[in-house]
Amino acid sequence: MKLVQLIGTELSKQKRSFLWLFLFIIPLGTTGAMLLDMVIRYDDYLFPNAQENGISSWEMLINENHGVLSWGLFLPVFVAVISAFIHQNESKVDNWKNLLSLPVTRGSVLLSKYLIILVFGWLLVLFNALGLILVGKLTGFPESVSFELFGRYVLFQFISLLAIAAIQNLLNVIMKNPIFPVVVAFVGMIVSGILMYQHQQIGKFFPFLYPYIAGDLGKFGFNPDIAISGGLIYGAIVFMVGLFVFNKKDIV
Amino acid sequence: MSNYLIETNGLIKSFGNFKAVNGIDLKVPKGEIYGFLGPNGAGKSTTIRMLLGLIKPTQGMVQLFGRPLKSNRLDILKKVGSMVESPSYYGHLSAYENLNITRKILELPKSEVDRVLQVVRLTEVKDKLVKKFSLGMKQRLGIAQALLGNPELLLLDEPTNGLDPSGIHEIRDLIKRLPFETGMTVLVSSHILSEVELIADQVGVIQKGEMIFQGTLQDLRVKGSSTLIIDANPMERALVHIEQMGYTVQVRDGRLYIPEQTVDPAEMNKKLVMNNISVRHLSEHRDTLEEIFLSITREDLKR
Repeated sequence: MKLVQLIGTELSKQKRSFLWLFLFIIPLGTTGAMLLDMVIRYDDYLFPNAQENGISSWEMLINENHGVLSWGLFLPVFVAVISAFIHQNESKVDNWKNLLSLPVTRGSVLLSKYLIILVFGWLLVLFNALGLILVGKLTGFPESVSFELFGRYVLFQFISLLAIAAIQNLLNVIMKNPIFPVVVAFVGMIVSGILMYQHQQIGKFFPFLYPYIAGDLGKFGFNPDIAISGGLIYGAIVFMVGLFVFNKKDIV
Repeated sequence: MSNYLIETNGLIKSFGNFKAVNGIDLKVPKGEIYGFLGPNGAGKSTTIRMLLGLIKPTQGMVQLFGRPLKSNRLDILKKVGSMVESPSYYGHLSAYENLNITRKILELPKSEVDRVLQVVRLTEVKDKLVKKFSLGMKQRLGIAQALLGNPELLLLDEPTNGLDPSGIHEIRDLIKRLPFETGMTVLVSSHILSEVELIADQVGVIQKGEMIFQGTLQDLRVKGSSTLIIDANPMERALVHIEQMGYTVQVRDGRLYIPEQTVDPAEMNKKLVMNNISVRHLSEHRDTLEEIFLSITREDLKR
């Protein structure tokens, strides 16, 4: 299996790609929005409110980012965009035929795409979290940064993305137009919003909601463990389905 | 072991009710250039894709290097370079970067990229983004990609598509050189016989998914017909005389045409002259390969 080489070439293919811009613009946007939120509301409302609820400023900031800004709901759409960027390299001028004519297994090709989607998705999550730390520092939070809190926040999102990346990878293999999987993720985000408020029991089985659940620090009463087990189970099953579909697929 | 580097048996590929390839027995001898001919949509690309494992055959078997492709795909593909239909490339990368991606997967030294760039004469534009390339340059890049690692078998699907006459000439020369210089076996598909005629040792003609001819170019020539054209005086006597000799004669534009028959022109001339018929013109028209190709593909269409 030439997995290492394939991952290396996936990175090479992203040279001069807008994906890098996307990777910085999105966290830059969330950082800017959160900074604005803190400048306007921290002293008069958010900080006293956090004290009242017995949570730290950092926990409050994560809640603002994840719930109010809806980072957790949008994250699957962002991952779908990343997946589209990665897959469009092959689908744009029918590069699949060239790649799969080389001595590589389809499994290693699919796995390399999956891992690279995950890496870029994880970087997005990481940059968002780093942006939040910067916002807290600039705002002058009185508490010191809780690395345990941020570590958990980031790690849980990482694991929840196992499911999303596998789904998007599969959709990009099935669908020739890379935009359709993004549309699916967008619909998934809307459905997640409905399930979150109205059908929480069903929401536990809806993978597009997992990134949200992963960062739910009690606001909607989800147990983040759902995102962990769901991410792992869906990730493994959907990847295997993707592998089966990809192995059967004729490259015409 | 068979002498064929590529051998397929009863290869069939169906898409729903449509049979794109129908029972093809392809036989490509080692070290030769095989011209895979057929009109557009005849099933050439589908066959080539099956040879590379990109499409799974509905039925039949593909053997490359004497081994079944199905169970030895990775080992076989290490020895195969290919360009299927239009060239594949990452437009936002330079020619060098494109080739470097394939080089990394094939685990070849960096010098290999420079070598193939030189072979296809793209060294000077190696740092130019491929999206800015002309179609001919993209085509050459595709060929360079296929040549990486000096494969033992090269599969080129319509490699001269979109090239200007000098580009066609250049690629033709390159393909022609490969078996001599490297011992490479080359399968070139095309819908233009004249292109293949100049480079191939063997040809296979495919029509509507079926192989309607396979053999040497000489074998193909034999399939053509010849017509003896005579201008004689007096015409009427010549006509009667030739018919008495047992030949079918057609009269067109004041000339006699003796088609599809084995006639020795010298013997015919002698007989006419000895019967006091003056022969003003006698020539033999043989079908060109192009005409033979068109006639066999047309015949097949009528079936």
